[in-house]
Amino acid sequence: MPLPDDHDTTVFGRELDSYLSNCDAVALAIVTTPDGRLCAQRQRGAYETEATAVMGSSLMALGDTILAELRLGTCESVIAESAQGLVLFTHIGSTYVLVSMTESKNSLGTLLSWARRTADDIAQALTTATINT
Amino acid sequence: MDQLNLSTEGMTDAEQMLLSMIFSFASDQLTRTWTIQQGGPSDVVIYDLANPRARVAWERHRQDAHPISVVLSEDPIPDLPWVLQKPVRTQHLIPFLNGLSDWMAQHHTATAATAAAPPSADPFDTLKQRLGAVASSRLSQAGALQDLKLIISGSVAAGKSTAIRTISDIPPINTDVPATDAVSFLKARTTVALDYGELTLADGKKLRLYGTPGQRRYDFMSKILSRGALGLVVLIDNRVDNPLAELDYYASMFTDLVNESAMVVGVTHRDQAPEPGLDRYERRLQTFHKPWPVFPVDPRKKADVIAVFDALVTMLEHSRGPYAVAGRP
Repeated sequence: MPLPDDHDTTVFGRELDSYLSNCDAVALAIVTTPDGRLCAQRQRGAYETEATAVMGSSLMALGDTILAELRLGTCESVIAESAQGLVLFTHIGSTYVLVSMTESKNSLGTLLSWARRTADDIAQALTTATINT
Repeated sequence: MDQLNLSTEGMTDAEQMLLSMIFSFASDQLTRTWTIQQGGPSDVVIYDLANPRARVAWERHRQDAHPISVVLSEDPIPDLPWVLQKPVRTQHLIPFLNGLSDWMAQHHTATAATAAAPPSADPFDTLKQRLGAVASSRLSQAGALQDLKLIISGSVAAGKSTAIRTISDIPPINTDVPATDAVSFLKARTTVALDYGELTLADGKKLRLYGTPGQRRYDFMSKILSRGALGLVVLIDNRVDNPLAELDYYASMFTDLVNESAMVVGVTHRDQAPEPGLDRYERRLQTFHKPWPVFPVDPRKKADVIAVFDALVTMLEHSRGPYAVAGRP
């Protein structure tokens, strides 16, 4: 699998900026490769990002595996929830993973909506770049 | 091939364990089949002269024509025909046993103990029976809700996923994804959470096999998976820059687990990287003061994987720790 190039990195940064400006609830957003390498991150605090990216790739892979075992189709997202907040793991196409975190437990719907939109926008931008080259 | 029965007097658990494992694993290097006798007639008795009680027994039986007396000693004893040097080493023991069995064949000293050797069983079935005994012992000590699981950990591309696929009774579950870092030069995909397989034991219990990711950034998964495990197999890829440092790393990472249970080391890809040899692994393992054995392994070969698991079961059977099997030393 090719590593993200400069264009990809630019897309990640632009879309994550847009994500944080449009969705007040999101406190941390990370793009990671499926094998846990941090590609880009934006946040409103000082959250740990490297380990979160690695663990996010594990959880995404587990989500894929569990749904495949149960024949429930392709995994779109995995949610980890606590009283203090929640973390959402979302596929970006088949090549990257978007990790989103909020400290507002009541923001699941908002986070799901904006995370899905951000993942789609990133995937669309990467696909368009691939077609143009 | 005739079977030779061997018993010991005064040997340590670790020395007896080494004998058991050599008999199981290095059977193709031995000219005869050897078993450790737990009672009944023996063809050979090994006496450790450092043990006063064993020395007395040896003095009593040293002139007997049968069974043959072998002395275990740190110092050479010139007048005795069969002296095994302490500490026992694999590379010394195999030629010693072959020399002894050849001599016995020439002098027709193998006797009734060899006559009733049972037909050899399927090694995989035997392994499952022994695993079942270890598992039952574990459950009886720790309660029925405890995990029955073994962990396969070790270097990237060492063959952990392959080993589980080779031995599992069910199609294994994988969490592999495309590799994007240096691992991609070794293989296209890499495990990021776990591999999972199962062995159905003789009594119907399921023994779960978990493979850990090999990349260091996923060590958190290894620690999660290894909690409460029955034992550990560490596979080291001999092609990496410093395989012995890898061994140190995994021995340290799983210190808590192996202090409570057992560990076996398998060295893979020796066809592509023969050095360091197994003797260097053995010397390194001695620094941990634990009787962890090391074996060459091709994870694609069921016999190789069974041999490693067989050694692990032997360790667990002889353990004095919480997972010791009832009735075993």
